[in-house]
Amino acid sequence: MLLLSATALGSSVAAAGDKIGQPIEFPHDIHAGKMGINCMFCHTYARRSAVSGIPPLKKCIDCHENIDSVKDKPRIKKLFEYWKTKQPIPWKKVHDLPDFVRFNHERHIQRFYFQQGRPVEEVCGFCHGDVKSMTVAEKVKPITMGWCVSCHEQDHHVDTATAKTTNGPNDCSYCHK
Amino acid sequence: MNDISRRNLLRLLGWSSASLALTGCENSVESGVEDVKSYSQPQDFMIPGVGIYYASTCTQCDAGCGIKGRVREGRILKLEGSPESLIGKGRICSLGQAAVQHHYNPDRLKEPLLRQNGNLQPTTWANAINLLVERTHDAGDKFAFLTGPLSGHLKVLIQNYVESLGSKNHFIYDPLANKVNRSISEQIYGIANPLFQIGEAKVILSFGADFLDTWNSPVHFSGQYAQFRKANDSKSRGVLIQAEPKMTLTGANADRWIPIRPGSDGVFALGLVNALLEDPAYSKNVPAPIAEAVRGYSKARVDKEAGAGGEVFDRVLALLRQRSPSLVLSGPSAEGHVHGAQNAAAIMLLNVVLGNIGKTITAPAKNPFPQIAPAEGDTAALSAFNDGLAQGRFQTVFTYSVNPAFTAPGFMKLHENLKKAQFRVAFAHYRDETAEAADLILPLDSAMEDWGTHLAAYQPDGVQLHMQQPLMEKLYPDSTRSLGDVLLTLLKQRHPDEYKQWPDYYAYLKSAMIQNKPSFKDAAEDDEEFWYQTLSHGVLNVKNAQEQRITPDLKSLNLALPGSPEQDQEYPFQLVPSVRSNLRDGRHANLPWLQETPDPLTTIVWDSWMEIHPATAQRLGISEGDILEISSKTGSLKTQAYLFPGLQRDTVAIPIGQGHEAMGRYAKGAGVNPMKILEPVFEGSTGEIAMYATRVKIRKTNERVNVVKDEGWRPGAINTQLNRKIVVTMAASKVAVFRED
Repeated sequence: MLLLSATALGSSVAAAGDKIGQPIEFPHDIHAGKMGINCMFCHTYARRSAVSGIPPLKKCIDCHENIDSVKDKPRIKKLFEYWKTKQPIPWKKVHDLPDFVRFNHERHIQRFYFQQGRPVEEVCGFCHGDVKSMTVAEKVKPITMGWCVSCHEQDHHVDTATAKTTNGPNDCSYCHK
Repeated sequence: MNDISRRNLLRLLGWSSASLALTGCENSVESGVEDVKSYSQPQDFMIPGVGIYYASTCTQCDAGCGIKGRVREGRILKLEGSPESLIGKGRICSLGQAAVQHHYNPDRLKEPLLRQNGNLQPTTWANAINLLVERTHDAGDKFAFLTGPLSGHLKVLIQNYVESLGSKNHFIYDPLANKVNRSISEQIYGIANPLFQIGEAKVILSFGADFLDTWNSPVHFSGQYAQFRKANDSKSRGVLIQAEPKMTLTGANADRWIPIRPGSDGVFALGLVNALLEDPAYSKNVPAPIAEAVRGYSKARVDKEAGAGGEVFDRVLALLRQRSPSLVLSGPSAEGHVHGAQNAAAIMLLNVVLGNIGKTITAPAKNPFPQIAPAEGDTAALSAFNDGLAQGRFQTVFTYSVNPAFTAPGFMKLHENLKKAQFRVAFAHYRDETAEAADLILPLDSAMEDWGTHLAAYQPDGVQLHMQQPLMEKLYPDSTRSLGDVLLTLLKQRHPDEYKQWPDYYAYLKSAMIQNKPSFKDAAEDDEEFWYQTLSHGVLNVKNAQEQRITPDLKSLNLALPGSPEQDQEYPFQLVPSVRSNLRDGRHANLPWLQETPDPLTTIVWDSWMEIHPATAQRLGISEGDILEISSKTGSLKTQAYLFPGLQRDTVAIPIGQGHEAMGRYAKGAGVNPMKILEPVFEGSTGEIAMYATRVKIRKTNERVNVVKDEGWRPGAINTQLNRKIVVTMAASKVAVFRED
């Protein structure tokens, strides 16, 4: 019985640092790193909704239709195959939270990117890691409640105009609705 | 292992299951497991995580409230009332809230089924349509179609289809119809559905009209009730008096609740008329023969026959005199008797005498679309349908939006009569009792996948047409269809030239609406723009709807009420088959939210019960939870006893809606169906089933159960949810006692 407890405690799904195979090995390093594209150019919903959303296929196509230099690359060929049949790409979810937790992207992006004017790689990277150095996204931060709270406990500047600071909300109901 | 004590074993088990639970939590994080898919080509306004509201119409009951459905990532999540709809004015009830559970119900029919060698087997739509064409080809008058109440363009298509087959047998059945009232209203007021201005009344005397919960247009009336109860500069807070044999939710909200004998509503009303006529201020508008006819209804007679004499009678009379305008309503407990029409007439006469016509009883605007006007149902239609079946006149029968095998009284033997038809087709969402008896079951789109137009029978202000549009893609696109599409396909077979211009029901509705564009207020000039306007608002206001007036006609009034019946020794109790707000006629019994919602008066869930007055129960030695056998002349059933003071003492009540033998996992097997033990008694003038005219006897069995209920208080104790003290509750009267201490 004790043995059973031990094995039960030991098992888990993709932990921090695991690399998850994706249908297309999307190179974040080229897009966000080499090309310096703002995360929100593709993840356009992050500033407008609780979920950041996976970029629609159309978003990829709109640019890549006009980039002849990489059209023969296997990844881009695969991309256009999906587009031809208008099938969404079945990406595997990397940053998942339990169903009883509601994380709101919009609140964090609005506060830290738009109001405080911090660089986008810092704002997104705080939870998602240094995406510029990855191909497909990897989970590098623990994203547990204690980890969230460690940041919520600290004082942050409200915006760039005032010196006023405040900590993040710590009511249970903010995340557990 | 022998030295592990029971306690240690449990502790170990607890630890191991706790750790399993921990991993259970961790497993809910599905990094690298779940697929996340984006739209290939999203609409600009679609933002994942942000809901969009689409307008439609609630089809849970016939009140026809406008709704707005919140759609997120292509899925309908929640319904709200549409502020543009003048029926609900932005509100909907619990039935409406639960409508999404019909859409996502796991027991929905997912394929057409055909009876082969006695069993229902999957078949294709193509095969099904061929069969429909073949079996109706020369059916003529041997074809019958039983539907629920209809309005809008679906009504037109159904009627055209029945007509195209050369049949006159379209029966519109509503198990909870208020046909008697409609017919007497028509006779006296000239209008079947007058408007009741509840908000304007200073006192309301309601004879069993449960207008806050189940009667007519409850969401609209609830809004009016708020106005009625609020004092303002021109009126004081309205007083509500409810007279009925079994307390309804409206009765529970009344200032005075009067437990009258079942069927004595007319006697009480005429007693009040008689007393009022002594005053010339009231008698001047009443023809002499009427005054003569009511003379015998003295206060003593009201006391003897209705059980509402003495102080109660005086108080009601005084309130009606002091507070004008008043409003007297006639509900199902008044009309559900042999003399239901006389009861309704007496109540309407009381309104005329009190001078309420034109003040609290007004005429609705005239509906300018006779073709799509609401066709309300009645129970006489079921009798006619059943007679046709019994006589073997119908060979092919279709059913839609009704479940007669469940709702028909047992004495009709409808289930057996259905077998006499050779080909029975059920257009259905579930395998309910009627579908189980069919030869062909055709799965329909849910209300959230279908198109439609609706005109409510009760239109509180002007005339509004409500649109129904899909709130999401079909869940089973290959297997369910819209009835409108099926009918169009069948009509194209009969009259190709007339119907070939419309590829589907959507195109038919759109062209019909655009054709009617000149009748609507603020309609855009461009047709396409008008159509989008129609869909985005969900309601269309009819331009210059013609006003009507009520001039009461008392000439042919029949007020011949029977005296009180002899005491029946063998069947001493009158049965009230009460209507539960959530289940209605049983069509929503398969929605777990509604089964789980406690009955507002008894707080019982997921079951049936029989209400009996505590004094009567004490006399018979019955206590809560005793399993009782309730028998009428036509049958018997067994259910648990619940002691309830909101009853006339010689009355027992069993709610309808439960007792399903089919209709999916949530409905099947819960409770009993009192419709099965109704006596074959009919209302004299309309032929409606007299729902409140069954007498029963009660036998206590040796069985006993714990009644599953949320109720807090019982005499002598503060309830603590079986001693768990989750929410400690007590009755308001107890609080007062503590305060005195």
